[in-house]
Amino acid sequence: MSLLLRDWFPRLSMLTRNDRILIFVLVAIASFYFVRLFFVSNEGREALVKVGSNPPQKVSLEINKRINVEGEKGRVVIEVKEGRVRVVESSCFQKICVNTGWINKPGQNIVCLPNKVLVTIEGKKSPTMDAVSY
Amino acid sequence: MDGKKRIVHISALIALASTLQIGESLFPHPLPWLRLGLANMITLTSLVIFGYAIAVQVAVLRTILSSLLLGTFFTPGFFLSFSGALVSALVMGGIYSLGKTVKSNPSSQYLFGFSIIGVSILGAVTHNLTQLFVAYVFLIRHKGVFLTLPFLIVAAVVTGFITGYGANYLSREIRRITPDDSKLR
Repeated sequence: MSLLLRDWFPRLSMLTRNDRILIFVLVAIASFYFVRLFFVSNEGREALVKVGSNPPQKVSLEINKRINVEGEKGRVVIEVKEGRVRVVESSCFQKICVNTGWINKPGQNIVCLPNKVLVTIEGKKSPTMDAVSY
Repeated sequence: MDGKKRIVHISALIALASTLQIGESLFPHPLPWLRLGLANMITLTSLVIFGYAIAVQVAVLRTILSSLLLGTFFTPGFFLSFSGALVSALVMGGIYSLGKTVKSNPSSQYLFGFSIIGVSILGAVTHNLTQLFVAYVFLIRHKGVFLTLPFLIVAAVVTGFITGYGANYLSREIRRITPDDSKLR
């Protein structure tokens, strides 16, 4: 039993050294882009819900649902809908978290200090500009 | 090469290439951008046997002929196919001619360090990249087009290998029948 690659795939022996280099370079470029594609598509598709000093909980933004969280002062209701997330109802006093409204971009967050609840969207913060002129 | 012979050769090659391209388009493609590119086999063979000029002419004219027969002449698909065929033929021919000046033996299988399979893969990649670029510039001005880049490169490596192997076989058979290239030219 041979361990040489060319005994198993005799066609491959037709390739020259430069052919192999070419194929290797192309596959390397393609896999680099695949990795980047995978990374970019993952960005901003998950929210992180943190309550007090507990470990954060990951919530997918793809599935519409409501989450009830027990905060410091009482119940906080978080809603996920169509890739966005908001706090619907909170037992706090000022309702800043409820008034923040929907968030959907990486780096945005909703905070409820009395309940010690933090909702952030994961991912690299993309540089957004107000206007561009050339 | 005298004029009559040249016309006969070019017509035969274009007929072969168009037949392959049309026959290939009759097969269902689940992914619209994924084709085997069998017609490229003829471009490569004519490059090896007949030289740069005929290969480019065959590549360009076969896209026109097959688009006329398929009814896609002057549609966006035709321009993609045309530009891809033209640029890939130019690149493959360039590699071939450079290889000829570097290598002392003109009938060598190895073109600038690449075998026919390597040249075919290079041609397939340039074909796909040209199409992507043309699609970006003239059809869809959106950066999202370039997300297909890795898929296109991998597809080009695989299909380029297959057509390159076919072209290698075909040109070897033609050489076996008529060992002297100058009789064909």
